[in-house]
Amino acid sequence: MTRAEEFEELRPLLFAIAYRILGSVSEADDAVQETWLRYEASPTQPTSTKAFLSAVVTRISIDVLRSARVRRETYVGQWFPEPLLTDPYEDPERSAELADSVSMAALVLLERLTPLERAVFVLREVFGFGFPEVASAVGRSEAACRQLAVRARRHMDVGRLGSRRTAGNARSWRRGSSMRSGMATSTD
Amino acid sequence: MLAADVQMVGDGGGKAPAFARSVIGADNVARVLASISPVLAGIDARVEPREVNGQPGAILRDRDGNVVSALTLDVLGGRIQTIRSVSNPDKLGHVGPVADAWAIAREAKQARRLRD
Repeated sequence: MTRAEEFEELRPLLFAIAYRILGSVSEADDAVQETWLRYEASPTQPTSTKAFLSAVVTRISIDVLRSARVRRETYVGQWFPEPLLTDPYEDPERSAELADSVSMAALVLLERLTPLERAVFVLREVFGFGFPEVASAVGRSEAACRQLAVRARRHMDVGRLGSRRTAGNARSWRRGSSMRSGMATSTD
Repeated sequence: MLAADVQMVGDGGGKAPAFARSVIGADNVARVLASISPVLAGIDARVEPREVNGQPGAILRDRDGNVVSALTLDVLGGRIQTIRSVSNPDKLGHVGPVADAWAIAREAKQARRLRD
């Protein structure tokens, strides 16, 4: 498989990650494009293309979000994400997480997180990445990423309680609880 | 159909007509919707129901099919909790050709004046 073919196969995943970090279709498209340019220019072939490209698109998205946040501070009126008509990425095993995290209410809540917390939350809670992958994607230690994940979940839970008026809120809240109790017993 | 404490919020980004603040409460939202629908009919707007961000929603188009706004509904227990509308043209380019929302607002105003 050529690099271009490999990339095209992973493009839906990369877009789905970028959109959840950025809340913007156009910025996510740009981040994916930038990821391709870096991959194309990379002299070595990574062991796992999926892990490598996910990490690159995450790092680019964090940077883009940092500058986007500054602009959003002076946004006129209420800020909402760019509407997404069709999520290109599907994963039957994570369909609930993928659907919940793409709702307008969830994306508005995700705006409360720092760019780093948001990236960790998206990779870990939405896409189910292991902490070693998350750590290398965001360039922090695994311990730091676990802390970031805890903080991110706390922000999201508080937000959900504060605004119970969200689509499938009860559903995500229940799942959130089971996700937390699952985390408590898991060694991961 | 509307929850008692339903909320209607719009994002125009200062680049399209939007509610200055959110509209809260079933009576208020129903009143606003009732006042908007003849305006939409007057400009031959079309509401195209479809999923947006994985939730029930719609694309609002003008008579030429250009996108005026994207709407999402938060539904809980069969009742609409939140109606969100994104009409900032900068955020709709990927949906399709974007309508001139100010021109539509002007036309709607004129149509209303003629009628009254």
